[in-house]
Amino acid sequence: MASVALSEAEKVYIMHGVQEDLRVDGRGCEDYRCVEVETDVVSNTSGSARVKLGHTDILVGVKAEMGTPKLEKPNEGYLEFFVDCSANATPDFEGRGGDDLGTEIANTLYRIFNNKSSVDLKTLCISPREHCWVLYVDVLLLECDGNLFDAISIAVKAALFNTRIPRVRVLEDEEGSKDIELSDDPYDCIRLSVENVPCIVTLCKIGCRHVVDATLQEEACSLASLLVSVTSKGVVTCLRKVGKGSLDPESIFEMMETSKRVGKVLHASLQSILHKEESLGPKRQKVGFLG
Amino acid sequence: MAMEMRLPVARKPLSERLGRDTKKHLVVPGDTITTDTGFMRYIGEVGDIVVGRITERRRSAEDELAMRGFLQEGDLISAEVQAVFSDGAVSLHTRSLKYGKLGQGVLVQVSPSLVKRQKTHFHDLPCGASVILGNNGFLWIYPTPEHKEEEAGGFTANLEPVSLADREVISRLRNCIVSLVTQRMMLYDTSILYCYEASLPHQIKDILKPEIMEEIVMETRQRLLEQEG
Repeated sequence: MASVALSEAEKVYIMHGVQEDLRVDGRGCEDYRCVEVETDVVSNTSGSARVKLGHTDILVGVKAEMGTPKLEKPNEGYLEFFVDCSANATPDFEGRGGDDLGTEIANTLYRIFNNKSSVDLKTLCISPREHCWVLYVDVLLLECDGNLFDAISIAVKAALFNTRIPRVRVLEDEEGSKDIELSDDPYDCIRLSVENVPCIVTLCKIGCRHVVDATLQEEACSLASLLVSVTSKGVVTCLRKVGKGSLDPESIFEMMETSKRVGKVLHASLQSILHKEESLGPKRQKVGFLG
Repeated sequence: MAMEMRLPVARKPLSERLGRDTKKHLVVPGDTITTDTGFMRYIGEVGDIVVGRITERRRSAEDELAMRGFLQEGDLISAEVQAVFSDGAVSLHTRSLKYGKLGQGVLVQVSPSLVKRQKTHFHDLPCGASVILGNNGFLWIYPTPEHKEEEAGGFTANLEPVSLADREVISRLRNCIVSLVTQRMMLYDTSILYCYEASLPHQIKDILKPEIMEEIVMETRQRLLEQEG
């Protein structure tokens, strides 16, 4: 993970501030920085989203392609994740430096989507055992300023909300050979229900309290963090501990309760902003990258 | 707990925001656009005050014995530029008690061209905190030491917890500096102080919201113009 060097005195200052619920930028321990979300920023994808959390900038593109279902799940489609830590984000990612972090993030995304309820994969099936939709989710890190996992999970959820998969019909003629027909209307598509897609809430333990949405400096002061994947109903789907420090079971319980509370508010805000953006219609002014 | 999500807003170009006329200058390859080195990386001059972080050090035997007790990698120091070499490297000295290792506080990194050159770069602001405006763009905000002997210098850092009131002032100053930088205003003691006073009606964490940031900086700009005129 990208990190900054801090002096001992700076770390002490940050830790004492967290104890008193006043972080360096004036936030409380459970406050997020301002988030900007925009969908449909990349034109040749099935769905895309860009999320800016402070100075952390993430771009996600989803491409729907036809493939064969996996042998053990013949009635379902599937998702493939790929994370690219661009060298633009921080000098640490130059060359192959970002590959380890990219693999770690991709594996975490596979874990949190690896259950029946996150995305209804049966809607991605075209004909059992033969054809299905495969969603290739590509995540690009443009800038890194702490709290990568949260921003990435928000962007993935927004991109999946924005994904439009063309509607297809399977025609079978008398000899039994199948033909796949694409609908004539370019706007005739199926959309995924993202109600149960979880988001990751990262809690960093600093001193004896924990903070949500840590900046790079705060991450440097924290020895242990907990990544909790929470759905909009407050159900925890996946839990992962990172860092070389140790965590008390009581702290883990407290952090899980915080993450459920924070997760519900996160999902509610994201739902409302996505619906607001959609209600502006196709004529809304797109900001994209040149704004 | 606070969480705010918003849709992005297209940024207006700076000249439009300031109300200046937007004459489009067309250039062709070969034209010199500017010879001002302000936007390039920091080039030191003798007598500049800088704040720096120790990244690497020479490992000779005497160094190990003497300096490691005082200064480690990662420590922040304030120093004065003694000499500039032809390749751009600078040599620093801390031959005064006002320079040396920095204790508890907050570092803000900005573009060097935004730090105005003044007679002194060490300011004790009346709001209750002190700042060091390094010419290299590294700004250090720290609680004003109570006793005059304990200057921001020497080599022993004070690790006592800083009071909540001081922390609020420091956080507010940090957010004000970040908003001035976002709006490309020059940084010096008066502009920072006016921005601090303009931000008082708002909560500290709200200062970084785009609309409040514009409001505060607009007020600061007006006050500075009135003061000059």
